[in-house]
Amino acid sequence: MRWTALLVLALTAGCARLDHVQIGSIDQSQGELVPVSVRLSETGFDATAAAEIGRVASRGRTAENFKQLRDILALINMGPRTGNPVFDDAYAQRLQEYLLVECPSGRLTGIRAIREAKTAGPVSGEIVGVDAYCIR
Amino acid sequence: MKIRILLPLMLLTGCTHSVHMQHVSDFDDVPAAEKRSVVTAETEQTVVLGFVFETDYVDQAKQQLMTQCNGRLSAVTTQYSTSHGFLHWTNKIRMQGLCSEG
Repeated sequence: MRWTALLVLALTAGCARLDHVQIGSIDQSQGELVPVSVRLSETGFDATAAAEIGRVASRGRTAENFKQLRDILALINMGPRTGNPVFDDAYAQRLQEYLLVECPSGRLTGIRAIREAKTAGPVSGEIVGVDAYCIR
Repeated sequence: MKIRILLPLMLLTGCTHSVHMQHVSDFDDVPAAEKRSVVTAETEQTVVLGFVFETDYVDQAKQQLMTQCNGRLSAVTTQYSTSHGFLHWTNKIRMQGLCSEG
């Protein structure tokens, strides 16, 4: 039963997640539009979910230990989440700098800001990205 | 034995974060590199067990950004994130823009 539950969990975990997408104005009248893209990512890890998997996969005293661990982890990591927690919240702070490297003129249009992730259960790649057109 | 396992875990996971959103404004007439400077503003909101003590931290960040630039602000990026903690958490707003004055 437990292994069936785990198998179903693994199969339904999916591999991609979109949290937010937003697009700005598009100006096609100023010149040639060249697509540019910037992606910044950080490894996400949900320790609480990992402890829950351990609890489901084990029995007796070990399962009880995993349950206690899960509860403690939930208590010390309280707060709203988008995807799995990361250990560095500064990973997306150089977005503007990288966009200007991709498009030195700074003439960007059709900016699409994306918050997404590649997921594998309690581990994920949390991604912040921007696709845009550079006006040449 | 349990404590030996739990303590490092608590230290390791007590400092997790979650980036909810990264907004990017239009890049309208961004000035040349030598004529612009990067300005940054950061504000926080502490939440204890769901009780909120500060509700205008987003406006404060915008005000901080405007105070640092008397000219034109463009290419503004806004990051909304949360730092998790023991029975409390901190919501954070970080705004960064390009300032061209004169």
